[in-house]
Amino acid sequence: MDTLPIVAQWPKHPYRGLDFYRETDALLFRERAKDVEECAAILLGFGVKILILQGSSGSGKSSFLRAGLIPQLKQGGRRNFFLSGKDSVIRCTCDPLPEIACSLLDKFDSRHLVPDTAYRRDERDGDVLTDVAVCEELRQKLALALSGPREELAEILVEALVEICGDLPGKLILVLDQAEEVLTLTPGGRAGNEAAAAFFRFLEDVYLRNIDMRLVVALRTEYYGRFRDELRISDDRLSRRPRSGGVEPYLLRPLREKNALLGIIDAPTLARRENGPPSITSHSRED
Amino acid sequence: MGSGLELSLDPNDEDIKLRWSKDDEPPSKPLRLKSKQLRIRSGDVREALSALNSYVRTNEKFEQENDPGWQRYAEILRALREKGEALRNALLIEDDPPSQELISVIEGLPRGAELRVICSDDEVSLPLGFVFEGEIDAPVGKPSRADFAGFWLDRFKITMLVEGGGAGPERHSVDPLSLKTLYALHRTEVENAFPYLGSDATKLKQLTLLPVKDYYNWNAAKRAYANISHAENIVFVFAHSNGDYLRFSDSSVDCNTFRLHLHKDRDASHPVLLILNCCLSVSGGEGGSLLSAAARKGFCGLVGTEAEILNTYALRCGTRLMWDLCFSGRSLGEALDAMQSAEDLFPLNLFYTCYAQRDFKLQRPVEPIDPIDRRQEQLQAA
Repeated sequence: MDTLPIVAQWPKHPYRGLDFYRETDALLFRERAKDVEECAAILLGFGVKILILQGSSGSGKSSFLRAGLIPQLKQGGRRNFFLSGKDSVIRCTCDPLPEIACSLLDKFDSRHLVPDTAYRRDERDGDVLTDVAVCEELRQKLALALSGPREELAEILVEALVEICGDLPGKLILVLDQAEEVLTLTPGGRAGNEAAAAFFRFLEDVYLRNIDMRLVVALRTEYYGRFRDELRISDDRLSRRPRSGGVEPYLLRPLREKNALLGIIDAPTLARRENGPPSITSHSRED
Repeated sequence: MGSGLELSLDPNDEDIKLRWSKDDEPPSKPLRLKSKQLRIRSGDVREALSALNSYVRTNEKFEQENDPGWQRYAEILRALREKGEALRNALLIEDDPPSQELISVIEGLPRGAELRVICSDDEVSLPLGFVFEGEIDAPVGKPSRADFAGFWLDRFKITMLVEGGGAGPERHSVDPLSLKTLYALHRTEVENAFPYLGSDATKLKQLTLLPVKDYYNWNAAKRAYANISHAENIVFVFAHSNGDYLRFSDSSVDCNTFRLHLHKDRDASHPVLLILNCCLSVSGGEGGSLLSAAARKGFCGLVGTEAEILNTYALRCGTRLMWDLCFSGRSLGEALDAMQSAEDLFPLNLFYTCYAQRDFKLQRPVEPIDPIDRRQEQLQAA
């Protein structure tokens, strides 16, 4: 039985049903400690820029991101920063750039990017990480670009990220889930769709310009090959950067082993077990 | 980390982000340094080091008749100091208020303080040992270690670490019985250098008798390495390099393939230390570098060189380091300090940078193997 050493409150509703786990369910998330540790190490490794988390449908990628990887990246003294709201994950949709831009705008509106772990020690760290005037200028540009061509939005997003990441006392980690939607919901793929083309161009620019951030892109295994093909990081055009491409794949295998599955079934009962074993556990296990 | 200072270097577009922290405090807000400028300054320092290497080639014993009044040496040293000062000025900007805080912290560090530098990318590897803060025109006589008094390598114990690498502190102490040392050597260069190694020749012979011995072809070395992936390893490479490729007598390997070979099927619970005894092995650069080989959990890091280095010196420096690690019971940091203090290896012994955890050591010295016993073992095995 493995556990993740995450300081969190026991979730109010520990029985998730078919829904994916959220960050608040981290204590329930079991049997993936090795994957979580490996994934975090790869993501934060030397020269890595993009981690592509791939797995078959139902392998638990969304839960893995929210209740496993992200809590791991937030724990301890690490200075990793996230966009988006409660769960730090942005769903790709068929047009990911506005999703990313809106998450960034939310952060601009709150006028600071601070990690969830308490890192503020004194004024030196500061919670306003970019000059207020610069922030406002970027915010206006982004808001305006939302209604313009996606290629332009990609460029402005990259500029904004360069500025923000330059001031962060750590790394910005952008987590994109269900990235296959960029391919499945746009029949023409990169060639036939402006939104998809701009998204891949954005990923390439993050890599090419070596922005101090990490991208996690989760998608279904059957789209991995096509996604990598669209992402042209191995092009000669990009030869200035390491040939390894800064892209690392990670295959999340489905859990099949009986004891692991039993551990997962047992997890929601753990808090109650302190007050006596609930009878429902044995029934669930048998089922 | 006591009285030391930790710097983190991360690339960000055209900048390098420099964060610093002292005494386990949270890091500072980043300073934005110009990446291109630092790259040029680092290249200048490495060029000046190459000039010093060339000088040693022509005047190995520092004989004044080869360099009347030590003028040529003084010119080279002056250039190195100038380049080191320029690197310092690109790193610490005097008229920038956020930099001033760091400058005053550095000025307040005692001599011998630990300076830990964490790099997250090839593009941020800087020859920090050759940052110069002193009198450029300080008089120079017969070449000596004292000439390097103003360089950071003389002031601090510098440890560079690559992000993603490292083994837990409990794995820095290695049982000699489970240690496997692998030597991947350039046959021709070893044969050429051997007559000039002096007492180090015997030491090198002794060292290469330890399991799993010496290999002169990367493919053979690679296979031997694959067989010891479940043991604690020191991998010692002596080959030609430009920081990107390793070239042996009849084979070569690029940095990405080298990294893949070293990481393949590796059990992270058994630490690996890399001694890359080649020119420019820690110089980083565009398109990849050998540094990435140490960027994996379970790898304690690597020791390598910042510039071109004469083969004989490289082999002697590497041999001393390995001897002290294996047979003298010294930690990596102690062995490195001893090697860098050796007068007969000066000044090329200063070209080495430690990208590894200095407290790596054997729990006790290895018992030397008698060459005769070894031959008998081989005969019996045959």
